[in-house]
Amino acid sequence: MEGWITFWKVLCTVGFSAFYILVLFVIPLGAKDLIALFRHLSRDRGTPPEGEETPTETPATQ
Amino acid sequence: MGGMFATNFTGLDWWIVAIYLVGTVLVGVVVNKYIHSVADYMVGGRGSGTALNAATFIGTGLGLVTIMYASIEGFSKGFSYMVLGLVGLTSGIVLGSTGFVVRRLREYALTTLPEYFERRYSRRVRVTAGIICALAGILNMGLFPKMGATFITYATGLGHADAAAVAEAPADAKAQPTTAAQPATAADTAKAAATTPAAKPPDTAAATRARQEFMVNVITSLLIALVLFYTVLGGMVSVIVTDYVQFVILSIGLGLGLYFCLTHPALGWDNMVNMMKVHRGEAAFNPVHPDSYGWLWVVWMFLHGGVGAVLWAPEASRMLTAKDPQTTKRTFLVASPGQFIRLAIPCLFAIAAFCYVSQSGGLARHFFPDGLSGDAENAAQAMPLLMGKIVPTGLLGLLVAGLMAAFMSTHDSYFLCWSSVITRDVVNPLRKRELTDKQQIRLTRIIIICIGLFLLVWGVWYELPASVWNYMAVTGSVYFCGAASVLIGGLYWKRASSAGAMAAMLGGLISVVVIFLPGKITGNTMLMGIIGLGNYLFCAIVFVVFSLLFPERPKPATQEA
Repeated sequence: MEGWITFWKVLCTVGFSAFYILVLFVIPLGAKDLIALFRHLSRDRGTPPEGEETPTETPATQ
Repeated sequence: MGGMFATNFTGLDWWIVAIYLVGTVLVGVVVNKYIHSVADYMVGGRGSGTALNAATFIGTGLGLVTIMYASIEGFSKGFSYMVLGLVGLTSGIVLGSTGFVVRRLREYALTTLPEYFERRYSRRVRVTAGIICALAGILNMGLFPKMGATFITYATGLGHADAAAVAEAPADAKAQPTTAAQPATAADTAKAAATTPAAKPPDTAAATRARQEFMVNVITSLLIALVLFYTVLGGMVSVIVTDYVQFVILSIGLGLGLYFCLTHPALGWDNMVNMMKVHRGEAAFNPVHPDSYGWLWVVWMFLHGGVGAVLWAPEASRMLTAKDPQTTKRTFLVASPGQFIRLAIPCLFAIAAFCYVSQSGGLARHFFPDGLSGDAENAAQAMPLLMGKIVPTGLLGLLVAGLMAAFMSTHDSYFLCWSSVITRDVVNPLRKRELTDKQQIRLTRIIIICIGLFLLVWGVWYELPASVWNYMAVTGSVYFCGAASVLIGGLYWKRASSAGAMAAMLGGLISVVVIFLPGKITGNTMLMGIIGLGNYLFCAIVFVVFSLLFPERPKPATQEA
C-alpha cells in the first residue's frame, strides 16, 4: 500500500505542477491565438456572409 | 440543524456568478458577426493555434459533470479512481507524440468525424455512424443537467433544508466542520454511525426541500437556455471564445479549491491519506485490488480512454479546429496534463470531502449509514458541500463561477457537435440536393434547440442512476466499440470494407442494452469490464470477418481530397 501512496503523491505533484505551468503559458498564448483567429475570420469577409445563399462545402473541395 | 448543510455562499458570490454569466451572453452576441460559412460555424474557420486549441480542448473535457462523477467515484474509491486521470495523461502523450490517427484525420480537413467514413467507405456508413454517434452523445448528455443542479444545490447552501433529514447527535455541534472541526475520533464516528438511526424529516422540511429542488431545476434550465443562446448565435467561434475564458476561470477555481483542501487544518495531504487508509484500506489506493475496480475494468478504461480521445466528437472536434495537422498533434501533447487533472483534482476534492465527513458524526451518518468502511450514499452531495464550507465568501463565488463555466463549456461543445453531426452526416447525405450553407446553419441551430429541450425534459426532471460513471462509459461504448475498428481499420488496413464497417458500427449498439440493466450489474466493475472489452472485441472480429467476406476496393484518399 505504501508504494501506491508514494506513486499517487508523485503523480499528483508532477501532474498538478505540469498543468499549472501549462496554464501560465496557455493563458497569454491562447489570447494571442484568439486575436489571430479573429483576424483569420475577418479576412474571410470577402466571402458572402451567412445570410446569403452559397454552394455547400463538399468534402472534395475542403 | 440546518448548519450542517449551510455554506459560506452569500449575496456577494451570487453577484460574481451573475456578472460572469452576463459576460458569456455578450460573447455570443459579439462573435456572431464573424460567422460567414459552415466551416466558421462548425469548426471555427479551422484557425485555432496550439495554445487556444489546447485551452478549449481542456475546457471541453473538464465539464461540471466530469467533476461531479469523478468526485462521486473518488468519495468511495479514493485515490484508485485517479487511474482514469492516468489514462487521460497517457493517451494524450501517446497521441500527441506519435500523431497516431489524429494527424491523419486533420489532413482530411473534415468538418465532422463521420465525414471520413464516407470518404473511406460509403455514404451509408457515414449516415449510420452519424446516427449512432449522435444517439450515444445525446444519451450521454442526459445526466449533465442533474449533476449541475446537485452541485449548485450543495455548494450554494440551497440544500441546507436536507439537514432535517439527518439525525444530529448533540455532540455533533462541537464537531461541526464549519466551525473548524473538532475532529471526532474515527472509532467514535464509526460507532455513532452504526448505532444512531436516521430521523425522518418533518413535513415542512420535505416541502422546503421540494421547493428548493424546484428552484435548482429552474436555475439549471436557465443555464441551459443561456448556453443555447450563445451557441445558437455564434457556433464554434463562440464555443472557442467562451471555452477559452472558461478555461482561465476554471483553472483559477480549481487551483483555489486545491489550495483550501491542502491547507485546511482538518484536511491536508497527510490527513486525507490517513483517513482513507484507516477506513477504506488498500482498495482506496490500488485500482486493481479486488475490492476496488479490478484489472479488467482498468484495462477497459485504458482502451476506452484512448478511443474516446480521438472519437468522442466534442473533444475530437479540436483535431478539426486546429489550423494544421502539426497543431493537432501538439494540442494533444500540450493538453495531456489537463486530461490528468480534470479527473485527479475532483477526485482529490472528494477525498478531502471524505476526510471532512469522517470527522463529523452527523455528516458521517448521512453519507455512510453503515459506517465509514461501508457503501457511500448521497455521494454526489459531498464534494460541493465541502467546497461550500471550506472556501471563504467571495472566493467561493469565483469557484462556483468556474464550475458553472465547466458546466457551460461542456454543454456548448456537445450541443454544437451533436447537432453538426445530425445536419452534416444524417440529414444532408440523405437529401438529393445538398443543403446550402445558410440552410445547414439554420438546421444546426434548430437541432441545437431540440437537443436543449430534450435535456430540459430528460436531464432536469429525470432521476439519477446509482452509478453515474458507468452510465457515461456505457453510453460512450454504443459508438466507440464499433467506430474504433472502423476508424483505425480505415486508416491503417487496406482491406477494410463498407460491409465490415456497417457490421462493426451496428455491433456497438449491443451496449445500449447495458444502459437498461439493473444497478447490481452495472455497479459490478469486473462484469462491466468484461462486457466493455467483450463489445470491443466483438466489433473488431465482425469488422475483420465481414471485410474479408465482402471486400471492396478502397478509394484512394488522394483522388478525393
